Amino acid sequence: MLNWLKKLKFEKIVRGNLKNLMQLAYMKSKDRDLAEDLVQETCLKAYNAFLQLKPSEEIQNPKSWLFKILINTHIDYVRKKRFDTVEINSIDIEDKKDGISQIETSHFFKDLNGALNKLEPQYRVVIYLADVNQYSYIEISDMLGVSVSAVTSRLHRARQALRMLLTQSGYSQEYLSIGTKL
Amino acid sequence: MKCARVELYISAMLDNELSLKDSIEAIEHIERCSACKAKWELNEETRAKLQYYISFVDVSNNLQHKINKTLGLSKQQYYFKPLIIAACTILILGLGLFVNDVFIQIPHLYKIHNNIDFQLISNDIELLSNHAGANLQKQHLSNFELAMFTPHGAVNFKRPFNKNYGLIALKNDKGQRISLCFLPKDYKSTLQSNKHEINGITVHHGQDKNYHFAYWQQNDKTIALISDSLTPVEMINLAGPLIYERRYTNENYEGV
Repeated sequence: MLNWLKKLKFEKIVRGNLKNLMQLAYMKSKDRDLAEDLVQETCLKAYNAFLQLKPSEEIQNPKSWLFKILINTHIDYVRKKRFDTVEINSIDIEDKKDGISQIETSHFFKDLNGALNKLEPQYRVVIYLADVNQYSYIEISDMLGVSVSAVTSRLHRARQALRMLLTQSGYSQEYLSIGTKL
Repeated sequence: MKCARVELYISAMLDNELSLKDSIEAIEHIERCSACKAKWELNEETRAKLQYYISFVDVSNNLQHKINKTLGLSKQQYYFKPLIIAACTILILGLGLFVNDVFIQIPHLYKIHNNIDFQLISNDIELLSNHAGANLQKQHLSNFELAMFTPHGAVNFKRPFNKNYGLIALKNDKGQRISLCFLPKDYKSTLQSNKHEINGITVHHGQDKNYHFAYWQQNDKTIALISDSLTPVEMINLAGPLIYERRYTNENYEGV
């Protein structure tokens, strides 16, 4: 296939998955600027890999493929200590959309944001993959390069930790008390 | 089942990764235990809220621009799209002409006769006139009507017909079928045929194994008649109104 045709095909893949890539990167880094760098680097790596594909080869699941590259890119970043000095900032999504005011005014979203900030990146990612993208454990294990049992226990611990962090907030206590009453 | 085990199961159950047997046991426990039920519901609630929360993380224009610039996508997009469209249009047009000229072989008369794909079934005089390239009037078809030929199929049933090939399938009350075909002007049958001059029009007619045929050129088309049971003379007699249009008289075709 001609390179420019491949470019068009790649562009279609990227455009269709860019938002998900950004979300995963954000869940990884919890920093918008770093997330953007990560996505940019991922796209570049994916692009080069895509151009190397033989005509007979095809990406079966472009989204998983891009996620896998992003996860590996993030690992590379961490190895290079590029993320070592990064502080976990409070959520900086104020500049994104007008609708963000809904999050700011929502008690639960404040709690959720605070809890996610405190959660380990690997927990945030596994929660994002399972809860938002609803990947199976096998798919997640493939993307993260860990065993299915590791995914299971990681998800369990992640949800336990998130639940604990949410429980500390007033909203969650209130919610739990409602749950108890039920 | 104990609470500690149920807590282990809650996560897997949320992801539909728990076996049916364990799920049933866990659900039974959750329904009885308010603490586990609260955990389960909080997990569900968190999942729903998380999906909403993350939807606000979107791609900025800045990132989009950076990616396009890094990969040279934007240039390609605007530079190549019109080119691709133009190239595809030329290819399709070229292929269309090529296919029309080279690959569309003139079908055998009998194949046309038996091929429903070419059939145009209608008693719409205007439609027939347009297709025949003749200004047909209802009276021109009177011989067909007198011969008890009626359109085969539903009244006014129209179907799109091929640019070059059209077929009106008719049958009489005895079930005898005749195909009135409209073919390209330069159509020539490979079958051996006799010629008859009728009012300056050369009519080719002949017989093959199972059918009779007759064809002539009229305006910008070749009109052919094919039948399993009618002789060429019978067909030409029936086709008189079409051949002579308004110049038709009984004397003109009775001598054929």
